[in-house]
Amino acid sequence: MKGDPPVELRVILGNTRRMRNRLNFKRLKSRSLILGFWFSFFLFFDARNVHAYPNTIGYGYGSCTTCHFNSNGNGPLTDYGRALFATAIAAKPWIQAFGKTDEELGSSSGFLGRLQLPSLIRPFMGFRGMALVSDIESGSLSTRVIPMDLHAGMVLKAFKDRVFLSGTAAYSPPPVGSSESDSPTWITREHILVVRPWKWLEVGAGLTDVAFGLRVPEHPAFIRSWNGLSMNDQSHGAWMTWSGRSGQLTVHGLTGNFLQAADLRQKGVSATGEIEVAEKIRLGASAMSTTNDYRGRLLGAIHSRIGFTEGTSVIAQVGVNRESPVLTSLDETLGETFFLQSTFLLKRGWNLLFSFEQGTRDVLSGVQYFRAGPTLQVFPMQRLEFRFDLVASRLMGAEQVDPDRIALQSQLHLSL
Amino acid sequence: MRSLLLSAPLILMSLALLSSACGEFEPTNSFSQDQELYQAIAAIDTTTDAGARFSAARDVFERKCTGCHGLVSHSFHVYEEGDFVGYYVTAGDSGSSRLYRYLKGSGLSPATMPEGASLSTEDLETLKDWIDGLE
Repeated sequence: MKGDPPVELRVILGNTRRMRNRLNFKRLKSRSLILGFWFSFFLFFDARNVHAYPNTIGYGYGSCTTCHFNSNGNGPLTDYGRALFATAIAAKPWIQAFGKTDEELGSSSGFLGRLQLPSLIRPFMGFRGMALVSDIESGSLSTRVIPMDLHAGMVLKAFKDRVFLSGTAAYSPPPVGSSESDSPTWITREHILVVRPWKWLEVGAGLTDVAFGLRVPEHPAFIRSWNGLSMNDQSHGAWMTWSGRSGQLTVHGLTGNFLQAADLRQKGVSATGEIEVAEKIRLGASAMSTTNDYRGRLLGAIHSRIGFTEGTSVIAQVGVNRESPVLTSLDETLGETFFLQSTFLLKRGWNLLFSFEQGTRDVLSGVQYFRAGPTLQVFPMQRLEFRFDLVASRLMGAEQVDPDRIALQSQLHLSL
Repeated sequence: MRSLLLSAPLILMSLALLSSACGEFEPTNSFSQDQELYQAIAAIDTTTDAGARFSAARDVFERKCTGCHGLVSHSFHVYEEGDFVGYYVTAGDSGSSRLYRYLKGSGLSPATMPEGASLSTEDLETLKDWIDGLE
């Protein structure tokens, strides 16, 4: 069998070819109904802000489990995910150290390239940094280089991936603008033990992202940062995920992050589910109720992921967030967030995205925030991503509108 | 079975390393400042004139400032009066307080905050009352 692509790669290459002819026009009618439903919903609720990396629905991949060890996405890639990245998502590299054909690229997609590690060990590393140019609208540019994340970890797996342990350690820079001298330098964002006794059931425990809504990579997005789902907001807990051909449901019991003081831990429960209503059309809903000694949070959201032709998709999420102070007689606040992102495949490895966000922290304040802009996302080869976001932000008060603020975010993401 | 036997020591080593490093891994996240923030709010005695003035000023900050300067950016904390007095506020003198000049503007420069807008006369009056009432 030496020289043959691995089974996973053969499956990927077959899938990729089939995807090009996948659009089923017989289902256009049902798609129209679904789109009509969402359009009506947004109009009715004056919908705000939605977002996601779950845009792989554009490649026909509805479930995160296909490519990620974590069934709700993010984190280390499976062998299949690595091979897919190399053979379908990223461009064919100019440097041909990893091969020329898709078969060779897929076979070289492991942590050590062509050198295969024992099946029970899957190490990974990653770096993400940004050059931020802000105040473009004023003409007096301000530039900052921000090392956002440097992490390393390992997945230990056995029984044909039915049992695995995944852990990471990461360098976490102090938050932008922080004046705290004791900000932590190292952090762990995931350490989980997962058991999949059957294909349709997963049981896991440990520290991981909270199962709620679209898990987009843009951590400042309102649907993440305002909902307490940002890059360091993981929680310990246990979860069960039921998966099937037509959808997925996760219920996540949350104990808060044990590495944080007990009174700050947000304890409660979240649930997120998604159903495939037609080919490459998924609708989902999420709910979460948590509290610590100081504030309670109740969140709800619905989302959609719609794939069109290969690599082209639209994802959206709208949600509400009620915060209730525990200790004080302060009023509750009700906020809302909306995220919408379209992805167009220009050519293999080159994507053009457009994002629109809207949100308010307190619907009674009359203050709304908007963000919108295009993104050029380039994967010149597997393991490497460049991303250029032009972001316009606007704050709109009850009586006046602020002028737009414009920033250019240039990101480098390296993953091994 | 062989894989399991091989993986067990690695799993145990990873867990041991992780647990030994736990003290170094405390995150700064969306909830890190809850205690500081909410206990400070609870401590405001709104039955006194001074407490009521600060509470009203805090309300302006919450509505007009913390959307950008709040817990996400960590650049502006609205916990206690002491967080302001000194750099941002000169106790008892709104006219020479940096914060008030940012918000109202001065003879030399227009208001710079909130960006591209200005506070209502009512909100400015609330902040003026609070600063001028500080001892």
